[in-house]
Amino acid sequence: MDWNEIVADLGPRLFRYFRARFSVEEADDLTQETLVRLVRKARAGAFDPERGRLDLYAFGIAHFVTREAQRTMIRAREVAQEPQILDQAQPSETTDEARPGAEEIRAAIRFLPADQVEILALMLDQELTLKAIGQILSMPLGTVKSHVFRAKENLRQHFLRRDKNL
Amino acid sequence: MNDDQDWDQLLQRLREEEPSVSRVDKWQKAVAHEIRKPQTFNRGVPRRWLELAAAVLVGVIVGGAVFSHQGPRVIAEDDLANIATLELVVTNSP
Repeated sequence: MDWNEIVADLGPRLFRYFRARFSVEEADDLTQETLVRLVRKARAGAFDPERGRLDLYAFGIAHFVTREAQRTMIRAREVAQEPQILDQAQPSETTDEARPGAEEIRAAIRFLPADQVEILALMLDQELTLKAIGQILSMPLGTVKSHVFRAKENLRQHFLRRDKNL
Repeated sequence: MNDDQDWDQLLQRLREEEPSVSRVDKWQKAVAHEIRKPQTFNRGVPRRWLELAAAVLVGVIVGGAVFSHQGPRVIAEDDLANIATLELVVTNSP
């Protein structure tokens, strides 16, 4: 395995996945944590290339890393009681034109139920089909589609309410 | 958010986030460091049947050696002594 190539391919994909929910610095740390765990598991023989794709396996690890991080970060943010300030203070690596829109969307995503956020974050990776997302989350395809439908509807309602308030 | 086109645009905006080259370098270094680390033996639950069979075999050999050294009679005598002690404790307890 050429790990430099794997990191160059998977790193940005995992970073985008984590960025749907976390700040730039947090996404950076979580991406690194996922990649290091992936190496450890691959070296220990836990990953069998004949049984599945490496990227799906990596996103499976990322799913667990997210859950662990959420437990610790939510607690820390509750103590700080300033959830918005942390994210707004992070410098974005997107273009100036895209920045406000992306941040606004992230703020809206934060209010969605956990399953819907998870699926939406995985959908940011264009190489993952809904079927692959179902495999990563051990969820039937129909359930994934249903979560996507509800996430769309919830976000539509959110932006409708925002437009009314403007 | 009116239709699927808006949904696709929404996803596309989030996809525009690209990590800097220095971040990718940092991850590559962390992974390279992990690869250089000597692999530690997994001392957890044995995963292979061969390991489990070997552990059972060693247990039987060691157990057999102890049993043959002590002898069945000694063990039986010990058991009788234990039972007698237990009876004594039970009958004398308030």
